[in-house]
Amino acid sequence: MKNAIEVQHLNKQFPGFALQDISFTVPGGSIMGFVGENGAGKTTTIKALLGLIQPDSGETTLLGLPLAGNEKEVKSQIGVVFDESYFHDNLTLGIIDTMMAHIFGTLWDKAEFAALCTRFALPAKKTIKTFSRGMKMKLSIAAALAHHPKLLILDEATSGLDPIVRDEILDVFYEFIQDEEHSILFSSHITSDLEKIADYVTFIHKGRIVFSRNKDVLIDEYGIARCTAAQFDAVQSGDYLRRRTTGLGGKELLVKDRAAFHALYPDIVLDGASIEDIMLFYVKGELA
Amino acid sequence: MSGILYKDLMNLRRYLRQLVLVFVVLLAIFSFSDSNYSFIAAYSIMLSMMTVISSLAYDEQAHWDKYAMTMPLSRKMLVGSKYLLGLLVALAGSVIALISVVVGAVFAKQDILEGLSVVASCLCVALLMLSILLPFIYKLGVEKARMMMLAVFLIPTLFILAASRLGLQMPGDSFWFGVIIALPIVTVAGYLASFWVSVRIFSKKEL
Repeated sequence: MKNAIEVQHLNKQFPGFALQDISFTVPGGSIMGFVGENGAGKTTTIKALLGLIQPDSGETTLLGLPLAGNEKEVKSQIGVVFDESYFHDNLTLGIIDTMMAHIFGTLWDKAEFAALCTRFALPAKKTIKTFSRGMKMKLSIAAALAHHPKLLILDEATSGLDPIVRDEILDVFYEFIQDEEHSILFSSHITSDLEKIADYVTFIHKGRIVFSRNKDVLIDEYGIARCTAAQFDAVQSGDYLRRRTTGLGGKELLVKDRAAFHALYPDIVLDGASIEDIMLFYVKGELA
Repeated sequence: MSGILYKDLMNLRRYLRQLVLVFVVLLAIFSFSDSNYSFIAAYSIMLSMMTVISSLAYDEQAHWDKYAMTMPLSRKMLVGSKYLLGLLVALAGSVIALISVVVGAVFAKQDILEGLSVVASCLCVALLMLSILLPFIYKLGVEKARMMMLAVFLIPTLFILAASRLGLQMPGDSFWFGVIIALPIVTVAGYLASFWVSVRIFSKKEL
């Protein structure tokens, strides 16, 4: 099966920030979690993917096609949800429905849109202005799904929402991915959401990709070694990725391969690492 | 394209309703006085031009362009929809102005030919103003283009009003005849050129 998204050697220079050599692949039929701290470059990468900004170099494809020359075809098969709703305040669900039907033509499924709005309990007569943040996000998701896209691109779509709403929304994404042709690129800094649904995790930090890997492998293999100062002195710097100093003067080390590290240092306590742990080590820890 | 135009009209529906209301009130006032109706012609067309600016301001506020570009719409279409909206509202404003001319001719025995040429000139001037404004708005954003907007709207309006009110020495009939012939051609060319420039600017814009 073809890849839903391919990004190769993407570069983009801004004053004070740069995307550097971004490469990753979202295999068809999978959910890719795209994590990184605020300002790491997640949104910028997504903008480059969608042609909202022009990269300095590098290549991207969506659903196997480069955007240039296939913009209409590609964009009618993707659904995009940003961290806010971008529908005008004065519109209502009915107006949005008619507008989208004009834009997407026969692809727009009015029944599907109505069903999603009902499911999300969105008020039909009220203007968007009166919607809560959660309702606006649900509207954006309904609008992104009603033309039956093959690929969903979600940029912080669950950030700023309460756990109940997030759970409802994750359910919808989970249903969407049941179709084997469907894929999701899910950018978020809420790593617990990604741990729930992602198949792969791409971690971006300061405009560079740190890794892009299968989530289960990541969680099975990465670990945190907790050692005393004395134990730390015995550890070779090549055997771990990052370190942090704990309050008591001990060291916590992020290790890439738990089993291999344990074989080398059987006395050091080892725990599994969550995506959040890994992020914290990269953002706040020191290099090995 | 029809979808975006529909969105703009629906988004501005309250604003448009108010404009029509204001016009009806003005028409009522002017119909019962002997005042020059060219004011109402200029006013209704200029107000309709403001509609385009408002729609752009709304789009900017909602980050609409960024969202629209995730849909099967091209940048050229987004820009084109604004130029089309401009044309539509200016024509709608002209129709309203024409009503005032007809009302003036019937009730106040004003010269209908002069009225028609006033409406036509106002339409052309409005479209020319939009031709100047829109590329600036696409380049700088509505907020920064605001000063430019003031200049584009105020200077010619003041000039025309001053000239007509003070009864300054006007050029002869042949000059005005030339202007009336040239104005539509200049307007069409200017509007098309402006569209081309705006598309070029907007194509390079980072959303």
